[in-house]
Formats: sequence, C-alpha cells, structure tokens
Amino acid sequence: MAEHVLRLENVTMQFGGVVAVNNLSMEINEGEIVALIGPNGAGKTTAFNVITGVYAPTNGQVAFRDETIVRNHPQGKMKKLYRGENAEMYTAEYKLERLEGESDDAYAARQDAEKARDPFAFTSRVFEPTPDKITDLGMARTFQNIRLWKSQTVFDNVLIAKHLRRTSNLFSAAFRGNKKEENRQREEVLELLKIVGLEDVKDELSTSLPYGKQRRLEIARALATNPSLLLLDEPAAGMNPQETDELTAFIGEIRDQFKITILLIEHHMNLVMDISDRIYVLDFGKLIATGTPQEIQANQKVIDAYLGVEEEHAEN
Amino acid sequence: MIQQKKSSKANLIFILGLLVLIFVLEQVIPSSSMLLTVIKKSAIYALAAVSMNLLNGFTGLFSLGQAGFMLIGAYVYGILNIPVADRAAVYQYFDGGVIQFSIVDGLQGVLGSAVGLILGVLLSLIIAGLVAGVFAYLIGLPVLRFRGDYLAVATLGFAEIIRAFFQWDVLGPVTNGSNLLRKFANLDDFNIVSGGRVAVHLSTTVLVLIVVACILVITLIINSTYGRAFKAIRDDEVAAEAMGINLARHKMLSFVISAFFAGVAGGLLAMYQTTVQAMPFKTAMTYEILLIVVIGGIGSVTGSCISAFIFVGASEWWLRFLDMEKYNIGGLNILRPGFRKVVFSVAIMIIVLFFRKGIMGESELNIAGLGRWLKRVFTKKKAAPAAAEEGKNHG
Ligand SMILES: Nc1ncnc2c1ncn2[C@@H]1O[C@H](COP(=O)(O)OP(=O)(O)O)[C@@H](O)[C@H]1O
Ligand SMILES: [Mg+2]
Repeated sequence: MAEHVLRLENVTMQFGGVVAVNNLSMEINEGEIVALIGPNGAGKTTAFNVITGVYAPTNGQVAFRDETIVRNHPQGKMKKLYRGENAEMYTAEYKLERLEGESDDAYAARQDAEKARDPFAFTSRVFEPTPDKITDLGMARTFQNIRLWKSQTVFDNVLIAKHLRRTSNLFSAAFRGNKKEENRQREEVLELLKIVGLEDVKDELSTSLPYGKQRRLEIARALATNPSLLLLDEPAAGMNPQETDELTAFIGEIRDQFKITILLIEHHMNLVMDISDRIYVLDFGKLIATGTPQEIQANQKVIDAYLGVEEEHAEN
Repeated sequence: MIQQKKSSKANLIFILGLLVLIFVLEQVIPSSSMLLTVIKKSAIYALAAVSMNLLNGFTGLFSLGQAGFMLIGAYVYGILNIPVADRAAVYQYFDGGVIQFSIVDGLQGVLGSAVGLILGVLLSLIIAGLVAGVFAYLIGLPVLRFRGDYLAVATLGFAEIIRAFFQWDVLGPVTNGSNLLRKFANLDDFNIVSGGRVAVHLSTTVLVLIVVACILVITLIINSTYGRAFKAIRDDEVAAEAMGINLARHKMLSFVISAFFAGVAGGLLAMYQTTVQAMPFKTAMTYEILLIVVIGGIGSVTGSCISAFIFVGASEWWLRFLDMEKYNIGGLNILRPGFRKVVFSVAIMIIVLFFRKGIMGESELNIAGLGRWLKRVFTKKKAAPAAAEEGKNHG
C-alpha cells in the first residue's frame, strides 16, 4: 500500500507576476478527510487545479500513491520571472548542499537516499498530464463554480462520467454491441443517484435543480468515475445551515461507503471542524498552519489571518 | 426505457413508410419532375447538414470545411469509377490519366452487373468518406489541440486551398485539372431497364436509402456513450476533461466522423450530378449547409433533415415564380430575375434573427411523441365543448 494517497512537494503556481500558490507541500493519507482552508484568493482552488492537471505548476511535483504524476520547473519566460523558491530543485542542475565536514561517502549516501525517495531527482523530467489522465488514475473533483452539463438530465450527467470506464469502442458502442456494459452503467448510475438522494429528479435538467442539489449532483458525477481520492471545492457554498449539516453527514457517509479519501476546500467552519481529520491553512498562497481541528482553532496565526476575520463576517 | 423502444420503432416505421412513398412517387411521376430533383438534392444536403451538425451542434466545434470534404468525396468517387474504356475521352488533355481501373466496372466484371454496381458504389462511397476522414485527421492534428475558433479558420482555409489544389495542372493525370470528370456510375444506373425503357425507377429511392442509412449511423453514434461524451464537451469542456473525457481524442473522433460523412455526401453529389468539377464546391456551399443546420436547429438531426428539404425546395423550386416577369401592378413588373434571391435572403435573415433555435431547437421529431401530442390536442378539443355545455347546464 502506498505511503500517501497524495503528496504535494514544493508546489508553486505563478500566473505572470502573481504567485497564487507558494511552495506548498502537503500529504494526505488513506481514508482521511483533509480540509484546505484560507481566505478568498489564498490559492486553494489553484492548488486543486494543479493537482488535477488543469494547470501545470510552475515548480514542484505531485505524487499520487507514491507515483509522480505532475512535475515541473520554471521554464522559458518563467525562468526569469519566477519569484518562488527552489527554482533548481526539479532540474538536472539541482545539487544537494554539502553539510559541514561531510565525507564523500556520506554525501553520496544522501544523494542515493534522495534518489530512492524521488526517482526523478536530479533530472529535469517534466510531467504534465491532461486532467482526464489524472481522473483515470482515480482522482475526481467538483467545482467551486458549479460546472454541470447544462443541456443534460441529472441521470445523463452521471452517466457521462461513466464514459471513462468503458470497454466499448466507437463501433461496438454505436451498434449496441455494448448493451451489457451500458445496462450495467445505467444501473450503477441509478444506484448512485439513490445514494445522493437525487433519484426522484433523475429526468430533470441538471440546471433546473436548486443549488444544494446541483452540488450533490456534482459529487455523484465525480463518484461515477470510481475515484479513490475525491476533491471537493467548496461543496457547501450557497447552502443554508440545515443543508450544510446534511452535507457534513453525507460526506462522512460517502467516505465510509466508498472507502475513499477526501480533500476538501470549505469556508463553513462547522463543517470543516466536524469532519476533518486534519486541516491545512493557506494564506497568500503559503501554508501558514497544519494540524488537527483543535490545533488549528487554537493557532493564533490562523485566527489572525482567517478565523478571526470569518467571525467578524459572521457577526455582521 | 420501454417508451424509448416503442418510439424508436415508430420512427423506423415512419422512415420505411417514407421510403415506400418515395419509391411509389418515383414510379408514377416523370423522372424529370421538380419534386424528384428536390428530394434528391435535399437528401444529399440533409446528410451534409447532419454531418456538420454532429460537429458544430453536438460537439460544439465550429468548422467551416464541409464543402472541402464534400469536394474530396466527390473527386474520389469520380476518379475511382470512370470506366477504363472512357478514360481516354475524359482525361483527353492528360493522355487518359494515370489511374486505369474502375471499381464499379471491375466488380461488375466479376460479380455481375447488379451486385457489382451495388457493392462497387458502396465501396467507392466508403473510400470517398475515408479519404475525407484522413484529410480531417491531418488538419485536426495541429489544430484541435487549441481552444477557440482556430478550427473554423483552418477548415475555411483548407476548403479554399483544396479547391485550387484539385484544379492544379500537375495533378491533372489524377484529377483531370479544371476539366470535368464524367461517365462514372451514377444514380440512373440503378434504374431497371427492360426493352430500352425504364421498367422500375430506383435512382431516387437508392439515393434516399443510402442517405437514411448514413444518418441512422450518425444518430446511433450520437445516442451512444461517445455521443454523450461529445455533448459533454459541447456543454462544458473543462468539466468533461475533469470527468475523464480525453478532449483531443474525442474532438478528433467527431471531426473525422463528420468529414467521413461529408465525403460520402460529396460522393453522392457526384452521382446525382453525373459530373464532378471543383468550381462549385465554394465556401458558399458550406454556408448553405450551415444555414440548413441553423434553420433546422443546432443539435437536432431531424431538424437538419426537415430544413434541408425546405431550403432546397425553396431555393430550387417554390420561390422560382419570384423570378418571373408576369405579375405586374400598374404596368410595373414587381417580380424580376434575381428577386427570388432577395426574398430568400430576407427570409433566412428573419429566421436567423428571430428564430435563433431553428425549427426544432435541440429536440428531435418523434413520431410516437407526435402521435401523443395530436391525441392530446384532439381530446382537449373534444373536452372543451363538453365542459362548456356542462357550464350551461349549471347556469
Ligand atoms: N488562471 C489564472 N490566471 C491568473 N490568475 C489566476 C488564475 N487562477 C487564479 N488566479 C489568481 O490566483 C489567486 C488565487 O486564486 P484561487 O486559487 O481561486 O483562490 P481561492 O480558491 O483560495 O479563493 C488569485 O489572486 C487569483 O486571481
Ligand atoms: Mg476557490
């Protein structure tokens, strides 16, 4: 079994001169629910976009189940523009710093250890797969600004996500040689819709649903790709307190039922503190704290940068 | 599910009925009649429009290469089917050309004239489509990786270049330069002749049959898991990609399928016209097909078919009277040659401006659904007077 389900290492994402994510490292273990929180514009969604292949990071790497899936270093124009750290770490120019009085043997051993940890260390290898390849590996996401297929029904939105796991080709699919698979997929979709409580609206247009149900549908659609890691970008945005509580319970249920790991971005602190095993806090692209919900709630830095501000918002 | 099965059965019966009707029509009305001409031409345009709709309407990719792919299909069909004996005459400026075989003729020699004709024509049409598909693949490789409207620009350019290319003298031994290709197997060869007279007319029926088969295949693709993936790309490609749909591969698939059927439509156009020349495959032809798609409804197969018939009928036939100088008011001819085109353009403008969704929008004509709808209308009509009477009794 892999050590970590997901591991980000020194990930930096710079848009022009804006460093949206700054040297972010994080780890997620099997079966955990991990929250990524922070003020608006902190770079949380950008981190998701890097993990899922929407953007190739400017620097750093991402490993999924100990397999490097994303890796990059500042190149081209970015070489000069780059304002982040570790500019050479993911290139062939990278050298381990010699420790004081270190013997050659000890230095070589440290280099070997680095190579064992990261098979692409000391190379300029770049991995920038398209998002579908990453989804294929077993990672699925939802979007902060809901992105359902609007001309499709609730049922078809989930069914289309099954396309990834097809075994049919164009001909067998067109001439219905894949009837068995198609029927099985339809049954699975129905089952999923039952689980998320959208069975009764399955034939309605996805966009005709109220906000809360659209968010649930996005979760169902992501689950239909058979992920082992689910990334939820503000799943409770726009929900009232009761819906949020239901969603909190629901997220726990799907973790247990589908035996998946969950990384979520959320502003509803009740939800985050209730279900997270661990929390990472971002501010201006940088990690400012990490720990259990109790630790985060007591962390002065976090209160100053985020939680305190949130409370003020709540009072208003 | 059950209702779906029933309605697709009803649709099939409707299509069969249509074919039978066309067959009967073809026997009873003169083969030069305008109606048959319009049916033939609109069938070909319907296939071209549906294939364009697959790409523009169902996958959300805007391409303007339809005329180019049809040209390729028409040429491939023509080149492959000119009888060896006629090649010297057809390629008179190019020493009889370099290709010295004819698929239909060759097969007829082996399989007999009827089977050889049918298989030869089908094989040639498939090759015509495949060649168009290969061109689409080559264009798609560099272009489809980018987002935005590069495809429209690239395909428009391609269509213009390919037209010049096929008329290029150097290619003359294959394409016959800017001269006509002719004498290849055409639709009239399907008519059954006995004693010097046509005993059974089949030219229109065969053409419509081929078109129906092609559109059926496109419909099957649209309703398959691949078609659903195309629609997902159209609706939101970021979400499609995030849900595991490989954008490059699926866009390419849709583009190549669309070009394949455009190529087949081009081959059919060659058969219908009995001659091929690059000249008429202008951008205007692509725009005509685009208009048919828009008028029928972007994302509706049946819409494209209905609108192809209306469009061809109107431009070739029903609006002809507008060009005649026989109606005058106060000694002034209101109608004169060219007036038809003015009225036609205005009508199209009105449709595009005020009926943006076209005739069908994104829905499909469904015979069972139509039946249910008619039933509802009639029962309502019957129910209304009854209710009115009841009201009277109470008063
Ligand atoms: N595609 C992009 N191009 C330029 N800037 C971007 C892009 N995406 C995000 N940003 C910038 O990155 C920063 C972080 O944004 P985001 O990750 O959406 O924040 P969060 O999700 O934490 O609210 C913002 O300043 C935003 O403007
Ligand atoms: Mg965000």
